Amino acid sequence: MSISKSSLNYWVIYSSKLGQKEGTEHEKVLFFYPQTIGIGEQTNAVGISEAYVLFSKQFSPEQPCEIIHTQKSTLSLYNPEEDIWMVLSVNNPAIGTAGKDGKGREYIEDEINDIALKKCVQQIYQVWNTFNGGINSMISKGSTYEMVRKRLDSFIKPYLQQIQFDQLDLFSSLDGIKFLPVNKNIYLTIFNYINSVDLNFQNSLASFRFGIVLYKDHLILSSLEQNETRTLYNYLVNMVKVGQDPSSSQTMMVLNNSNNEPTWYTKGQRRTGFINMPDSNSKQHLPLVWLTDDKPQVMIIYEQKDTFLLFLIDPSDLPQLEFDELAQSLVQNFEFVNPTLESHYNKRAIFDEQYKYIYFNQMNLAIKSPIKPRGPDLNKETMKLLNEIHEEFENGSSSEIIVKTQHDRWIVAKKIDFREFYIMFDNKNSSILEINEEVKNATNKFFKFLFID
Amino acid sequence: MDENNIENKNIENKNVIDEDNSKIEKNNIDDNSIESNNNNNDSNSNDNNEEDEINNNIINSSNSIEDISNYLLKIDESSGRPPRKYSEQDSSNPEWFEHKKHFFILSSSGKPIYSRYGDEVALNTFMASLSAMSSFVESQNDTLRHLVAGKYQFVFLCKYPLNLVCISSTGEPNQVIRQQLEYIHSLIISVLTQSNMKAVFEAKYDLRDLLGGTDKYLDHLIHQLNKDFSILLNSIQCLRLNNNVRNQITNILSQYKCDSLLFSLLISDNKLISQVKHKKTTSLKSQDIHLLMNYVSSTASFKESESWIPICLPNYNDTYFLHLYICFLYPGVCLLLFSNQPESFYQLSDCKNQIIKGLEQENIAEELKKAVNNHDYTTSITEIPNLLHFLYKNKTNNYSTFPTFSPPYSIHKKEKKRLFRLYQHITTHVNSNIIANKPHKYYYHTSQTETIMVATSNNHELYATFSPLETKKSIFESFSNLLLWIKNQENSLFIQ
Repeated sequence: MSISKSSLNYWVIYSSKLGQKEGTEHEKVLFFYPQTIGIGEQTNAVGISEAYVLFSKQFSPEQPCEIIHTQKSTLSLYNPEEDIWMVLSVNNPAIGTAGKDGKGREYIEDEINDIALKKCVQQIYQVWNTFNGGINSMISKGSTYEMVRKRLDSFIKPYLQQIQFDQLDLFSSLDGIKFLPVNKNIYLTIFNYINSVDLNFQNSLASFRFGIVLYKDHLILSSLEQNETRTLYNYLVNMVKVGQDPSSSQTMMVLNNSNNEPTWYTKGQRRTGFINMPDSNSKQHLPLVWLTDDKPQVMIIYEQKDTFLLFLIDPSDLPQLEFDELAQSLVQNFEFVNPTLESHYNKRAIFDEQYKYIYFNQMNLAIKSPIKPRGPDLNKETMKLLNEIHEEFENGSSSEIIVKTQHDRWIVAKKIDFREFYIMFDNKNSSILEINEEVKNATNKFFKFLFID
Repeated sequence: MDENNIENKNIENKNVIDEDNSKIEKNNIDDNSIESNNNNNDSNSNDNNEEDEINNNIINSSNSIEDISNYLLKIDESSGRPPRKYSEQDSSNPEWFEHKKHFFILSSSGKPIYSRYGDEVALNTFMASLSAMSSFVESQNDTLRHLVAGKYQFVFLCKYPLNLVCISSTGEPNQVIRQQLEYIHSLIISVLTQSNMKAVFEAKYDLRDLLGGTDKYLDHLIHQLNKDFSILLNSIQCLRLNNNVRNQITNILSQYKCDSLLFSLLISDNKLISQVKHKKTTSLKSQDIHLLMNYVSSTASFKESESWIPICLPNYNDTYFLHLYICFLYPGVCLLLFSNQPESFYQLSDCKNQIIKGLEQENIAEELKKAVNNHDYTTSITEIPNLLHFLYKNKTNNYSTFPTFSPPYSIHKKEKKRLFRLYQHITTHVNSNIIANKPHKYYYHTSQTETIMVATSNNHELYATFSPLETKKSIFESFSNLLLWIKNQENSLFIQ
């Protein structure tokens, strides 16, 4: 039996303001992928999405249609800016091949999770918005729609192509940040270093400021707002793939090209220095980022042996920034703390070897889990179940769920205030009471580890 | 309705009712006519009767479409049914959009057939837009399932030549709403048969005309779907009855039969007392039995006299009608006899008389009447402390049992509904396994208001509700005790 996984059907960005006249509807399309699909079908996709929105607004004017399920696909609609709509259509997974009559192929219609799919669309927009600013603000600053179309094409396409649509799991829904637990001394030491660097440079360049610091894929410290941190963390960990062996996975990093447009490049081999600036004479390649305010800032990322530091500076101050001096002060400080961070990082593993769990704290977005996304512990059944339980928690309809599946896997999930805790056991013969004891033991150990360490 | 208006020569209406003693007077019946017993005061059942005749006509006549059209022309449009609730509303009223749960039936070409709220004709444009959405998806060789917009869900069920849509803000899982639409679809089939429906639709006749009077069955069914645990579990609830008494009843039902008799059922409200299959044929599915119960409980006139209606059982065979004899033996006890012959009314009526005689001879009638009054039980009967409610389904025969609501649920209607909705979610989650297509073995849910524990095996599903303050240990114990209690009571809870 051939099984086809969920995959991208199409992705469209359109402006409902354009192409209002009959016969000009195709002008609404700002970006469509895959481009092999003809303009007629592109216009149809926009048309039906507008119809869904218009129709659902009659009942739900504040929140029009967000999700559409058909036999063969699942769609998510997102309206991030006035008049700007994004539609992601994902093919449902299917078993078997369709005969001439179209039968013989069975679609698995409820595998794609609504929350995870919505999150996926939001993230695509977020990445676009971070490096390009809003579409409407581009237009209001004088870009033509033609320019926007071109920019969308060059920026969104490569990003879209690397998304694995069959892996929209709980990790993508939670979109959390892994924190590195460090002891007070180390924390204060790092805090001091960063403060002194900040102060040192702010004397001459007022707009210079520290953003976040990571050790491998774990966050140590951030001076940004939570959502800004989440966006940049997500970019560094999931796209640039900091802290991972660059040869094992494909990396993607935004740099400005010679036309001053943000463009995707692959990150080169591991090195020490400013990773998004090929050499010290290429300041113009540093990308701009749009965070909460509408004022873009230049993003500088420095790598020092698995420690990653991110700084922001106003574009007008950039020419005066002495990169050599910055690098020097960073090397000095972090050469000293790096070994300690490394030992902290490795210490994590003790609890993690014993249990398969996911811990998430909505308040600080902290996520902890030894389970690798896309790993063998997350088979389809578990992935779906976790997604469903998370949905129940989001609805506020449950605070604890315990499931024993047909395959004798126990999944225990609890929600306490803003925290979600999921733990899995493969003890076939345990009773629900024994599992409950196991969970008690595990949570005791876990929270000791979480707070005391 | 003045039945004399009908001039179609294939139809001769022969129902004369003696209102005083509700007996049927025999009249000359020709091949095409059906015998029906009506309460003349009930205009609804007259409508129904009229459509039954059409149905019968469709089966028996070779050029049936022609006949129907003649027939339809003669229908006296002015014979109005009593106005339905909210019938004055349509999509131009803001209040119309406020209803929590809309149901629509339209033909595949977009013609309105039914709307739960408002007049379906006035909703013409609205229905056309519903139809446009699903037909657009169909034009891409795909099928629209459901949309989500905020707290609203729009669930579509496309079954040629019908489209059924539910628009709901009740927060029910879409799978449950889909099941409800399936039920509504079967009800339509049971009135028309799938083959007739296709034929009529393809001949471009308005299906609505053939379904006049079905509204009240639909309204009633929708209401029932919103609160019936046995439907939620895809099962049938049995009347609690002493095993010996039930066996005697079953024996009597199997004993008194005639050649054309396929099934004998004895029901009480929406509970099954006994069923007997007389021929080597497939058994009745729970969905069909629920449709029958819906017919019986939504037609007041059935209580008055013997009735004879053609009915299609969609899960038995959706291409033809069976003929159903309906008679209340005692208050709350209704006998249903199915025949494949349109003219076996009198044989079946004889069967009924013998059955009554049998019941009286063995002194079962009293026991039965008592059981009807004593069916309802609360969790206290189980003597399990802190048990608030439960649902049990025996999966080998699809029978289910559950107590009536007790405090805290019995106090407010809202709480009953909340528990019902919660069970809807939990049954959906328990059965959501995509790969093995089997339910999870255990499911345990805790919220601020209750804890529900579920265990499933090849033979049963048990959902038990406790206070959220109970420890897992005591819930686990109570749960095992409850299973034991049900095992011990199986003889009276279920038909064996």
